[in-house]
Amino acid sequence: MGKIKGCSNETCVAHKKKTTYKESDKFCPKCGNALTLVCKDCKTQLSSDKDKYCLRCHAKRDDKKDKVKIIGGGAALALGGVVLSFGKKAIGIAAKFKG
Amino acid sequence: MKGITKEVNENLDLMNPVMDKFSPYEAEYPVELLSNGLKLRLSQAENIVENIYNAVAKASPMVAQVREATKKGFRLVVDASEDTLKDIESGKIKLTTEKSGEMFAQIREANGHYGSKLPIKKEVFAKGFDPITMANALQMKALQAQVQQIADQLAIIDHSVREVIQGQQNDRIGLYYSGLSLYLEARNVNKSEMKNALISQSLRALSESTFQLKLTMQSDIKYLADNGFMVGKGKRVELIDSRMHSINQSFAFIHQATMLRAGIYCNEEELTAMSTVLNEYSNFIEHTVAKNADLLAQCDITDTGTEKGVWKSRAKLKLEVSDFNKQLNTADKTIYLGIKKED
Repeated sequence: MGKIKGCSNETCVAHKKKTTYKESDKFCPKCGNALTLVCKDCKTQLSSDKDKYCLRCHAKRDDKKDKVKIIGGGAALALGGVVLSFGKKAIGIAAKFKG
Repeated sequence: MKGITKEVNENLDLMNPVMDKFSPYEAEYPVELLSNGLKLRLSQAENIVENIYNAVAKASPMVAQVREATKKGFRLVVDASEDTLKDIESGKIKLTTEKSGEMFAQIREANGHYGSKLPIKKEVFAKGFDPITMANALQMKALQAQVQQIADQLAIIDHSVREVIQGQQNDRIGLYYSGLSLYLEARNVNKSEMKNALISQSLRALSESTFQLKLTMQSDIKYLADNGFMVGKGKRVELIDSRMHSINQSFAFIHQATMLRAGIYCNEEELTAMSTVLNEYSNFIEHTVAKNADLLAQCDITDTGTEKGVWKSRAKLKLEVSDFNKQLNTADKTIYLGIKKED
């Protein structure tokens, strides 16, 4: 999904409701004010057309990714432990049958 | 919306009477001090201008308008030798007017010929006035609209920083309270030397507090601009928020300390120093806040990023104190008296 726009006119109902528009839209259908790029998460008005998110929301997303990595890493470790202990048990059982 | 505007400007509306309703340790105090100082200066100016007019009119029935006074300052009346003055008093010499009705400081002697021009000197009309006070009063009067404009702009910021101030403590903020406390003590000291010393110390503490907070704020902004928070994996938002908290805190106390310094200078009738403080504040806003308003708006959770958002509205503060400063600093203050012929 691309960038989104919002109305910067603080008195406009579209601004108050944080209504968003497509990047190709130029004017607010409610008040006629020129639309500006806004952050996709918090709807803060952006000054640059390079980003989809504001600095804070960008950092928030990066934080989420980091947390997923940490959780993912932890889960893999736990899974490895389970497999290991299960393997040991399996070897024990096999040894009993053999004996 | 109108309600909000009214509330914002209440303390700094120079048309309102002088108020004394806030305790010195309340967030509203510095701006109230400045606003009261400005109101007193304006009312003083009103009285002085009226007195000048009356004195001038009394001293010379032909006179009457201080036409250029509000533009240029002052320096009055006739610089004549004692003999010449005696001659004027006795009627041997008379001040004359031209056909156009404009009067010149030129004399007509008893034989009907025009004599030498008389330089103008303050003693004739300005008896009983302190020329400096008079000049400041006239300028203050002339700059009334500009002063109100400055006050209105300050009121917008003042409203937004008050919420931040509650319950904030650190050593730099301690310096602000030290300055405030010293000023309150100075107001209750009778001995003028001690009073002046305390006021100087108060201003010094406030100035140090302001500059330390400015440096802290600039360093916090640099941290955000350089993406310093990226090193804290999983804690980036936390780091941004803590820096924004520090920036908001610094800004609030820079504003308070500036208002207090300007208020102290205004109450001590040091209008040039007051305008210097306001000019310095305006420069700080321009170079530190306005340049980084976009960045700060994106990092501040309370900001919408619009023109009316917290940081962009702060960035708009551009106090027009340069003209104010120029006029107060004019070395040669001259009032030109336009004199018209009596009907």
